[in-house]
Amino acid sequence: MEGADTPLPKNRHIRIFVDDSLCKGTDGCGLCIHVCPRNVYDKADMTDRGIRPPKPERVDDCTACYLCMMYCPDFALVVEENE
Amino acid sequence: MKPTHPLHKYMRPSAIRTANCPGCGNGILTQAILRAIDEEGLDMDDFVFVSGIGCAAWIPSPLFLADTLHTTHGRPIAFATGVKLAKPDRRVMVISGDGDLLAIGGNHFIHAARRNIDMTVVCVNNGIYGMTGGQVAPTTPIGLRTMTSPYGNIENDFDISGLATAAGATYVARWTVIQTRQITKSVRKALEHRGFSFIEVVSHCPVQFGRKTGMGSSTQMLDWLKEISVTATKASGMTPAELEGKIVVGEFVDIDKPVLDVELERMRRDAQGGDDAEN
Amino acid sequence: MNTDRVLTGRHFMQGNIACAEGALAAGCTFMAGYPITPASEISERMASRLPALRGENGVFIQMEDEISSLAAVIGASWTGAKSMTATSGPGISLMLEHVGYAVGTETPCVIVNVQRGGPTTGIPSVELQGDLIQAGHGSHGEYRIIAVAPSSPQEMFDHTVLAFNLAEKYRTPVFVLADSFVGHMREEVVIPDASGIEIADRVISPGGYNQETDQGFLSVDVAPMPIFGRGFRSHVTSSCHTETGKRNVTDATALDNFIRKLCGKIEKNRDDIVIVDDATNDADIAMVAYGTVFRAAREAVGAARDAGISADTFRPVTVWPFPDREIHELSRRVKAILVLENNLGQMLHFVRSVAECPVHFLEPEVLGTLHDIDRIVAKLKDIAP
Repeated sequence: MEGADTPLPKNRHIRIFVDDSLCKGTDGCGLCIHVCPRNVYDKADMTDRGIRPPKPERVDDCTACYLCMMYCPDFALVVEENE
Repeated sequence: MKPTHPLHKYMRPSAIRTANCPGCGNGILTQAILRAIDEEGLDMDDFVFVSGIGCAAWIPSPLFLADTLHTTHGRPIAFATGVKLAKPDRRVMVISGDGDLLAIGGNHFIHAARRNIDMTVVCVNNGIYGMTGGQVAPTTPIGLRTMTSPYGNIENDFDISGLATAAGATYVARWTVIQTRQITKSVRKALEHRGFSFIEVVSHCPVQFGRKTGMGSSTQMLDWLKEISVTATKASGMTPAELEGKIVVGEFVDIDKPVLDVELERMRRDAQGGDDAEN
Repeated sequence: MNTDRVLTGRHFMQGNIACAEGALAAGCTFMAGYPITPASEISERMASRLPALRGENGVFIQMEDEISSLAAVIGASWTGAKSMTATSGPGISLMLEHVGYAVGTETPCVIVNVQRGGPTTGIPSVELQGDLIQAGHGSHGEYRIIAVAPSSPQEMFDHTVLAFNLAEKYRTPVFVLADSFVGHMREEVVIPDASGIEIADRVISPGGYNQETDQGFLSVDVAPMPIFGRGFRSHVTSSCHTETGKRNVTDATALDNFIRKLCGKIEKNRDDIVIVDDATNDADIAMVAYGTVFRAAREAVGAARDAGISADTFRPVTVWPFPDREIHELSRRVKAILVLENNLGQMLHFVRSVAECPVHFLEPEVLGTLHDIDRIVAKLKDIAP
């Protein structure tokens, strides 16, 4: 998976991966930002494809509810919880 | 190491960038269906996916890495009937849109329900003909201005799940894409159910419906779906006036009746075991 | 009901029944149909015989209309089953979209048209050869197809077997162009032992075939068929597609390839497909006739000879592809061609386009009946050199 790879947070074991090549952009879509109950995402800068993918800015606040992953119509988000 | 999406293993590598518009509800539904197959531990090689013409029909074709039959407009259920009866060990799933299954395909839909043939039909209801640019559909809300109802739709719309029930479907459920977990549960139930299983999924179309009719963006339409969804239990205590403009979601039918392919097998045993008689 | 597939023996049999028996002898396991005069007997016979086939999983289903009948046939064929439907002109009109679908997806299947009086509802129980061009070019788009025209109940059996064999060999829908006369008449039908009936089966893709990566078949005209249920993960679409089933609806070159390959499949193999029954020898006049009209033409040969006219029959057994080469060669041997059809001229125009000798036409005095022998002889006298 290409795209933003967040560093492992200190006290949580949640990682969020965004596939920029599958994402269709938070301007036309933006469902991930919209459904997230913890305001984890911001809009990233525009990529070469002309879209602004989500940027998981506040992963520390993420509770791994998986809503963003479930509502992404393009399978561009993977939320992982590691032991 | 970066992970792949857990459901990518069910998809054709060349097709994972779908043709869906940004924010299309069909993408949410696609995930819900594949999650159901994944959670049930089923093998894609046991399936035949059949779809008609329209955006919804592109959910399995070419995306799903499985035997897929992309048919003519309105007829996937008829093709699926041939597949199922000729090879009953296949899990047959039809995924197609409201215009496809209910307008041009309405006749095949009611007869397959009547026959209680063992298949799962997911009807993706976006209330419009999306792929062709936003024309009015039998499910378009009354009053809506579309490309072919420029003065506002003056026709009544179908209660698709009601129609399925009346025609004889033995599992009927309706959800919107906001209830994605419930869709997965219903698809799992439908896969386990022997008989004609019908799931209507109201899915939002942000471009041909949302943008063209002024209903809003994908996120706005998703909020709208959440707002107008009413569970069947709650709806039973509401008046028709209160239900105006609402979508009643839930499981409506879950019964067992003789299944066509099973009856066919019994009929064959009788015909073959009967008296050898005349030519 | 008999549980054997092949009813070996001598029978006095109705044409429609013989057609059904031919389908069974050819290995048909699936039929979907809808009632219509004058074809219903085929469905009725198959409804009895298919489920009763000993140890087999024969399926007959009466669908809700003709459109869904051919759809179900195509779906069944993709599971590997030899499948057919039977109807008449109005039903074919409804099925035409799916005829194109079967052509474009290279789905083997047999479509029996027991032609009746048309256009539209017309007269259900009268014969006409009104659907010839419909069979060859009725669906939209550019394509080629195969059709056979039986002239007797015996041929209803034989040509239905032939139709299945051609369908399997060339992965194409094949029409059996019968009519109400041959469908409802009764004559002797001899059904050989099963071992004496030649059967063709489609070539199925080898195990391990991967549609995404396998390029092996691109060198043959008729690709092995990646049927469902074998783990091929076949993507079957009627959209313009490449040889690997991958949809391409953006490049005109893809469509060009799609059309040429599908038409080429039939045209390149026309020498194997085209069957004619040429009795002309050194006759002056060739009577070109197919199907039941051939019977009248055949009868007229003797009467013509008695009247001092040298005329004999040339019968296209396969009416599509049109036997252009054979008729062209014929036209260089004979002094004149008389085309006899039970319509106002459909094959006529194809004959005219390739013939070097004069081409005349005779329809029956009353359309929907067979030509009177006297009328044929009178016409022959008229055109005799």
